[in-house]
Amino acid sequence: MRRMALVLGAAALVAGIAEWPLGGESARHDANVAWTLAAAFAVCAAAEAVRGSSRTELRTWTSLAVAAGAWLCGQAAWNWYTSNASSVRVPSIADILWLAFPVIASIGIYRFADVPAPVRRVIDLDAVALAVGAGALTVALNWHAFQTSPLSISGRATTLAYPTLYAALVAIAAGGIVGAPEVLRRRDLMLVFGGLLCESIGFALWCTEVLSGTFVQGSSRLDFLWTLGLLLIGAGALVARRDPQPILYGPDRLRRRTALPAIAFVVVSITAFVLGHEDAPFDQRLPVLIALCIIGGILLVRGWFAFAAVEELEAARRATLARRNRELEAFAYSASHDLKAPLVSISGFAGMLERSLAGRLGDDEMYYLQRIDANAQGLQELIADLFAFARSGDDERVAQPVDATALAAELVAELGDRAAARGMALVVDGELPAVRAHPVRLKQALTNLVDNSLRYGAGDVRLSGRDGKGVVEILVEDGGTGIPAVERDRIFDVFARGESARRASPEGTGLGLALVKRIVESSGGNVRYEDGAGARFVLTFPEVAL
Amino acid sequence: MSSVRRILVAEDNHDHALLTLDALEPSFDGDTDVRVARDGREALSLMLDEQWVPDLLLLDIQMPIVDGFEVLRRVKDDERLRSVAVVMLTSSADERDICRSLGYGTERFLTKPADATALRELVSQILSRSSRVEVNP
Repeated sequence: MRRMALVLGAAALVAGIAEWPLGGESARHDANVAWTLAAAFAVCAAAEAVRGSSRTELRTWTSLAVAAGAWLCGQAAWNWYTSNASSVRVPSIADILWLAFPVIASIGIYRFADVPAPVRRVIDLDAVALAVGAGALTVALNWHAFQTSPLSISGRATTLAYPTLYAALVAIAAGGIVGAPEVLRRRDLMLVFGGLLCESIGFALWCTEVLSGTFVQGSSRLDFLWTLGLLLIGAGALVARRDPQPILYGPDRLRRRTALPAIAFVVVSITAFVLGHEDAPFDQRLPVLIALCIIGGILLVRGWFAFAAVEELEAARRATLARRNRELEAFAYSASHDLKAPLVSISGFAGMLERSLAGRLGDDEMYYLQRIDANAQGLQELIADLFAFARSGDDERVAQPVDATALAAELVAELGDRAAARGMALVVDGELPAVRAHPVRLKQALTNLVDNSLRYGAGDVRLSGRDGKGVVEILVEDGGTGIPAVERDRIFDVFARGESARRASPEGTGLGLALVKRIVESSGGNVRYEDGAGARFVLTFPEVAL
Repeated sequence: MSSVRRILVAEDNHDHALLTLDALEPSFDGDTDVRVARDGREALSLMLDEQWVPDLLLLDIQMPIVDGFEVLRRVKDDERLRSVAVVMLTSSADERDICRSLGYGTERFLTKPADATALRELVSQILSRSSRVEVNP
C-alpha cells in the first residue's frame, strides 16, 4: 500500500511538472492539483510507514495525512470553481478546506510532544501564547489597511483569516516542536514544519497584496511559495521513518526552555517597532503595542506555570527515588537476615559438635570443625560489611555535630581489651575535634581503622586531632610497618586487599577501608593515607561550629 | 509451694531455638520451665491468654505473623508483663533495630550467634535479679 501511494505520488509530481510549462491559468491550476496530489500521497505513504510505531507517531502522521486530504479537496473545489464560475459557494468551501489543512497538520506536529501532564500544561500555554500573540500581531499590523480596504466585509474576513490562522497554527506547531526537543532532530517533521511555514508566509504576503489592491487573480507569484511548501511537506513525508525512541523530557530541559519565549518576545517586539515606523500615527501603533502587551502578559503567566511544572516533576521524581530506596532497604534488610540465619546455624552446630565431641575426636577432625566455624563466621562478617557498605551512602540527611573525643573514649572502652591482648595499646592524644557526621557510622569508620591497626599494625594505636584551614582532621595511626607503597593506590577500593594484608590476616573482607571512605565522604569529608611512623589514616571534615 | 523460673524463647527458626536452648541448658535446674514459641502470635497468646508470665523473654526480631518489635511493644504495654526481662536476639545487627528495641525498653540486644558462655552469664544475671514466681503446686 505504501509503495502504491509512493508510485501515485511520483506520477502526480511528474504530471504537475509536465503541466507547468504549458502556461496559462488553467495549466497552473492543474499543476497545483497534481502537486497537491503528490504531497497527499507522500503523506499517506508516511502514515502507512510508521504504522506499528508509537502512539504519538501514529497520531502525528495520521493527522498530517488527514490534513493533506483536506488540502487536496480544497484544491479540487477551487479548480471546480475556476472552470465553472457558476457556484459562488465553492470558494468558501475551498477556503474552509485549505484552512482545515494547517489546523490539522499543526495539531499533528504539536501532538507529537508526548510529555508528562505538568509539562503538557506548559506547552499548551506556550501554544496559546504564541497563537494569540501571532494573531494579535497580524491583526495589529493589518489594522490600518483593513479599515481603508475597498474589499467587502466577507472579503476582509477571509483575507485576514488566512494569515492569522496560518501564523497562529505555525506558532502552535512551533510550540510542539520546542516542547519535544526530539522533533528538532527529526528531519521528516522539520520538513513538514518548513512546508507549513512556506504556506503561512505565502498567505501573509497574499493578504498584503489583496489589501493593497496589487493582487492579480490567477497570476500570483505566491503560487511558487505555496507549491514549495507542498513539496517540502511531501519530502518530509518521504523521509518519514519509524522512531521507537521514547520522548524523554526532564525538568532541566524545561528550565532551559523557559528562556525561549522570552527571546521570541524580544524578537517580536523589535520587529513590530521596526515595521510600525515611528512617524506612523498613534492609532496605527497602538494595536501593535496592545498585541505586544498581550504576549508579554501571557509569557509572564507561562513562566510561573513552567516552574510549577518543574517542581511537580521533581517532587514526583524525589518521591519515586524515596520509595525505591525504601524498597531496597527493606530488601537488603530481609536479604541480610535470610543470608545470615543459616550461617548462625552452621557455626552454632559446629560449635556444639566441637564441645560435645571434645576429647573424642582427633586433631584433624577438630581442625575441620574449627574451619567450618571460622568460614561461617567470615561469611557473616562479609555479609554484615556488605550491607553496612550498601547503606552507608545516604547519611547526609542525618549528619549532626559529633563529639569525636567522646566517640574515641567509647572505642577505647570497647577495643582496649583486644589491643591489650595483642600487646598493643589504644591511646587518645588530647582532644579530638567536633565534626559533622552520622554518629553511628563515624564510629564504625573509626572502629574499622583501629581494627585494621590491631590486625596488621604494631605498637600503640593513636587517635588524635589536627586543625587545618577551614577543616578539621582526625588521625588514626599505629607504630607498625605501614602499607607498602605499591599497594597504597588501591587500598580504598572495594574488595581490594594488598598482598601484605592477605598474609597478615586471611580473614579480612576487603570492605573495611572502602566503607571508611564512603562514610567519611557522605559527610562531606575525605580520607587519605599518610606516611607516618607506621600506617596513618587522616580523616578530613569541614569545620563545624558547635 | 515451689518457686519456678520461667523462660520463654520466641524464635521461628528451629535450629536457632535449639542452639539457644543448648547454650542455656547447663544453667537450667529442676525449677526452670522453658517454653518455645514459634512466632510472635504464639508467644503473645501464651503470655496474655494463658497467663503464662515468664521471668525472661528471649525474643527474635524477624518472625512471621507478629514480629519481635510488636511482641516487645505489647509486653511493655501490658501491666502484668511490663516487668518481664526481655533480651532481643537477632542475626541482623542493624543499629536502627537496636535503637528501636532499646526505645521499647528491652534489657539487652544480642547478635546471633550469641556466644554460649556470654548468653548463659547474661541469663543467670537477669534471673538472679528477678524475684521468683510463686506458684501453687
